[in-house]
Amino acid sequence: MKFGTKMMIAFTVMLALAFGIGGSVLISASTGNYLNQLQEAAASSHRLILFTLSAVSEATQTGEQSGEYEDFVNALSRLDAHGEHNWLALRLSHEDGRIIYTSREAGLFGNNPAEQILGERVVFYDIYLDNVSGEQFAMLTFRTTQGSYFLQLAGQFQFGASALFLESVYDLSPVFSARQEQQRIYRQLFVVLIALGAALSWLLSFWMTSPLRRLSRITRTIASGDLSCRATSIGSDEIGILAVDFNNMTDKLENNINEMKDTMKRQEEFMGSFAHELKTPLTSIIGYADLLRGHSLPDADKQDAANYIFMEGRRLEVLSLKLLDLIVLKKRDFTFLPISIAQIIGDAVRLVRPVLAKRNIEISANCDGSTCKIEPDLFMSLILNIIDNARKAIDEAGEIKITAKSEGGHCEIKIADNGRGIPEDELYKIKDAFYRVDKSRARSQGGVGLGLRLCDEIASLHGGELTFESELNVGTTVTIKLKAETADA
Amino acid sequence: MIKIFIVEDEKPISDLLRMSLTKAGYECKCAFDGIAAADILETERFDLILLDVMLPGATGFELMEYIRHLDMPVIFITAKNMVEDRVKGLKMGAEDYIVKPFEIIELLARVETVLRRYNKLGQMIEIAGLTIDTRSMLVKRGDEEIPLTRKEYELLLLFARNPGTALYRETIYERVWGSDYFGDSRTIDLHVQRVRKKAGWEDKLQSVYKVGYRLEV
Repeated sequence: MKFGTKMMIAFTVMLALAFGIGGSVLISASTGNYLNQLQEAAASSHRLILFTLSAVSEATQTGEQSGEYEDFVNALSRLDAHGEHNWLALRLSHEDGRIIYTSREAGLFGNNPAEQILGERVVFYDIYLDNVSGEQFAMLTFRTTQGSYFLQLAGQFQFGASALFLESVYDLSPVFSARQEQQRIYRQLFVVLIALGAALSWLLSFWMTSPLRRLSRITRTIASGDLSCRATSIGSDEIGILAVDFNNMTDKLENNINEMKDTMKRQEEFMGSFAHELKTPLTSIIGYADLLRGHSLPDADKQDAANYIFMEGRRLEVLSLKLLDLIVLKKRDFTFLPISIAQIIGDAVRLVRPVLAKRNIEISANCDGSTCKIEPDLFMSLILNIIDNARKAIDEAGEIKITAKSEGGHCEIKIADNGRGIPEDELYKIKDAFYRVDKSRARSQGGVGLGLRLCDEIASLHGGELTFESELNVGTTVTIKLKAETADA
Repeated sequence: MIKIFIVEDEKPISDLLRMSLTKAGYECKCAFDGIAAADILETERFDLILLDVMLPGATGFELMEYIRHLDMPVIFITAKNMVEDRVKGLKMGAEDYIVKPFEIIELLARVETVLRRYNKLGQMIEIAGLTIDTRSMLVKRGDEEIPLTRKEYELLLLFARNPGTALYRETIYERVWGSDYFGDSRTIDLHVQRVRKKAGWEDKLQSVYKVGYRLEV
């Protein structure tokens, strides 16, 4: 079942319960009130008759002779005849069961009133004993088989040695017909109210669940692949908060998926390049070897073929070593020691100076006394790699300048050359594996396109950053940014 | 003479292709990047183009767009053994493809097949006193027909197409029997004996010690 429908049903049931209970309480209260009024009126008029009869009894005080009840009969007839009374019938009887007087509607009384009223067993469903005045006084409500309600009252007074009973019957029908009328009206009202309430609560639940529907629609859109979809204008209530959380989740998800796609694409590219890098030398090696073994070649060609096999074999060797380095870098834990940057760069410069001197390349280093936490072997290889790149960029007679200085907790090592530079639109690709700006030149210089990839890995292993600035035919500056350990310049 | 255009940026491979194809009797021209290749194609016509996919300047696929209108058969050379790449090349109108690393004999076979398809090669091969009609699969010495079984014919054809080349037993087996060689030299030796005898190549079809056979011409 839909949440909206559930809400509507819950509202409606609650409304029905409230209206039902409230209505019944109201009606029964008003009925009870009315009944009490009628009962009190009946009791007072009964008391009045009893009082009158008691007075008659005292005035008469005759013995037990015939016609001794004349006065009572006369008094009661007078009362009955008087139009404005509220009882339906009266009966006066002797304690031995003789009926002295009955007014019209005598059928309303039972056979033996004294027993009925004063005895222990009462056939009617309700009896009230009013002892306030000290009189023997009983009251009961009964219903005839026709469905009309009546109130019967019975009282006792002494007449000489014997007790006389006065009974009276009052009509209670107005109370019950009023109740029926009230109930009828209330039932109609109830139906209208509940219908109205249901309609209102449907509207309410529709309005309250509309953000949920929107959210669910957006979720479906996202599930079907449109990750850029976001939940907007949901509001600021709990559902609004859910929407915000949902958006955050989707953001994260989108990022993760994009990252994954990116990684996969890079991996695919890497595999593609790797296959190419591997297969090219293999093709040469296999091809030339095949040529050598199958044909009798002229000496010059033989020499070329053997040379190619050798060179391409070397290339494979370099490739496998560099790849191994990369794998080792990713797998191994290294210990980092605080080492003076000036010292390690000095070592590197001393190492490369003779080689560079042969090609008329000047190298100079200018470092402050900063210390960084580094792994000396790796860092050395990083510096040497970059110097080697600078060397390859310089055709003839150039210079390489290395500077290192600390600033704001960071140490910046700059390695600048005045070589041929890197075109701007290639700059962002140079860290990619197997990427070479000038493929044929890199090939002839023995590069496999993994140097900077390796440098980048080393730099990030040190928590550092490798950035490049370059201008064509002016030179390239490589900046290694590391976290400085101490900076006592 | 049949002219083949080699577009391959890797100098060693380019040289390898040129050497082998020249040796097989083709005339070769080389280009090392896409742009240069396009320039050459503007002025020269070739019977076949060997085209590398990964080229600087313009990729092989880009170049293919240009070559398509020139009506020259193309064989792609690719390092990627991906089905999509191969299908892409073939769909663009290439005749065939070769995946690196390849063997020379495979390259030559593919080149020959494509050239034959374009009727650039004659149907008749004349070698060492025999005439081989590749269409009717008939081998004749003068007017006299030499009866050969299917395998013997294929063996003979393999030698005829690679004269002066030492053919290794595994190569022969792969080419003629079409499956991997597991050192079953008896089959090859037996067939070579029979071909030698039937073709009258007793002194021409020489065995190369520990290697295989070579047809001397």
